[in-house]
Amino acid sequence: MNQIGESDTMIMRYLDGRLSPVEAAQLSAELRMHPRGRGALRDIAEQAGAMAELARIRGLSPAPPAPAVPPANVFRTRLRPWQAIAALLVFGVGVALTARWWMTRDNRPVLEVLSIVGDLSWTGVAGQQREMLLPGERLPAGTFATAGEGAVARLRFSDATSLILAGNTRVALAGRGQKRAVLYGGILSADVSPQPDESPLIIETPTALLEVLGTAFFVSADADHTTLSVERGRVRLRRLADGGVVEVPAHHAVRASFKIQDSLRPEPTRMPGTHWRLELDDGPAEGIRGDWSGARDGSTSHLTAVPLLQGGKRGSYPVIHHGIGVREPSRPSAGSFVTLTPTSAVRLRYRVKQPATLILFMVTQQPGGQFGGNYEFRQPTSELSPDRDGWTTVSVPLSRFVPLLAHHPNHPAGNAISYLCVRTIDPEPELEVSELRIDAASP
Amino acid sequence: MPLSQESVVRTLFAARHRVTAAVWLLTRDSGSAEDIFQNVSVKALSGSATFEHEGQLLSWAHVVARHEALDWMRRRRPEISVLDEDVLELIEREWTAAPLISGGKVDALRSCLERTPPDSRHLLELRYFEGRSCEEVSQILGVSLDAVYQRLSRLHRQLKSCIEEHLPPASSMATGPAPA
Repeated sequence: MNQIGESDTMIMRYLDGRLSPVEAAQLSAELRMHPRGRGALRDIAEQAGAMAELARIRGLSPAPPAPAVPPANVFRTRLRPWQAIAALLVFGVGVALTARWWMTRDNRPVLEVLSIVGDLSWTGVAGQQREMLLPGERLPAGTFATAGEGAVARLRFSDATSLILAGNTRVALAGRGQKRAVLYGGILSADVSPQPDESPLIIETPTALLEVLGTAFFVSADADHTTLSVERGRVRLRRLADGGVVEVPAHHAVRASFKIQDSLRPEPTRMPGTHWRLELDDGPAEGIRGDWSGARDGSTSHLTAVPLLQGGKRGSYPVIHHGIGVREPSRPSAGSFVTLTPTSAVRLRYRVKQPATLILFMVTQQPGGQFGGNYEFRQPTSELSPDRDGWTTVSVPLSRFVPLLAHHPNHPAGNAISYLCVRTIDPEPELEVSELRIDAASP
Repeated sequence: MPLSQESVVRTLFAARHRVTAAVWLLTRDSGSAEDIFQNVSVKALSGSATFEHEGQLLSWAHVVARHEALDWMRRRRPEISVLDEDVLELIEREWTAAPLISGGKVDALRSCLERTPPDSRHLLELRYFEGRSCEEVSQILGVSLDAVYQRLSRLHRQLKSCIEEHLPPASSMATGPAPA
């Protein structure tokens, strides 16, 4: 497909009635091949229809259709000979300058965007910026960033090496010759095609340096820790604090930080157990998002909702929901903390100050750490009855969750949760959570 | 057993946004889209066609609407190019296959428009509430035509994200808490 910008413009020109028959045929050819473009057309048409209905409700009548504007005609001018020579000279110099600029600023695409949930942006090495990237876009080296806990972006190099960025992740990627990545923070999983021995894929984090020849692995990083879990092949990790090196084989994981006294010995990865409970009595643990309040005056310990970045934009502002989020990054099981079974259920005790739509959201991983899909359950709080203290207890079976990506299985049984979130869209309900657990019924 | 008149009305009402959107893709005029949808509804209720299930009715409605829209274009705007008919069929099939979300989208859009910055909302109102061409919009706003196309394109993507945020996934609504 052409660069997305060109196709977007063609679609808008078509809707404006300004495509020539040849251009309309070209657009038809592209739409025939690319479902993404067809989806965009459907969305625009539905939005236009909804806006027309709003206009009718408001009592506005649309302006009469403007007269059709035929496509711009190509026209010719006659140049005098000296003008033609001058034009050629200017053109020739322009070509030379452009070629020099092109060769010194490698803008050739190295990565293709395969799919996106949420928001993905790109900043080029010269500072160019693109936001809200779309599947099918091809981009040069630069920094890619996903925004929002549920954001997921799949990217691919030309040699079929694929990467998945999840959550709030920022990574710089370059792929001409030796592939290099700088993971500033977040979660990256990769399926790496075999690389030449002399030029492995290099991944840098704030605390570690990874060398990858051909493997599938998962790495999460923040300013203080790097967790590496290898599904296939081997990855060499160097701890930056002291230069300690370890080779991590398949089905093993290791954690590197600035604490050089910590062991760098890889441990076998294990899927976590099928029961899990959010512990609140002793204060908030690492990885928990929410304002903690201890038990007092007869009330139980609980977490109060905080703003959670969702990714995407409302106008020019980021989308922010309000809730509590749970990660357990120190787990050796690639950060996942509970394995889901067909009989799993999420039990929640919550309180809101006004009716809202309650959203339960989970990010899952397959055994081995590869991204397993995002799943969500929604329910209006008005459909449930709280107790006299305003608390409501609900148990949601796994079967009630729906995938947010069409190609993921309907139910994530067999996957493990790496991030769990309870939230509302707006802040006014002031959501509180005093119990959050996941249990699996005995078969 | 054929669908009852009440079922036909209910199905067409639930799908009206989608059918009028499909017509709008051809005519690019909301007034004609509404008129054609009404014609299709009248034909569906006239008894000249019977429908065994909702899917059959929706497929029929899309086909009839497309033919009426193409006729309208040939008569009223023959100079304006349309997409190839097989592509239009493909788009309609994808629409028919997607689950209907009964209600909510207009409300979600209203809420999203309220959160849209004023200048962007003005652009959308000129284009879709007042039905102006992009050239008229560019003249009113004092920007280039290409700028209007690009801004509209981005606004539509933002609206899509906002609307999806406000709508539940297709089958997520529980009827009540399961036993604890």
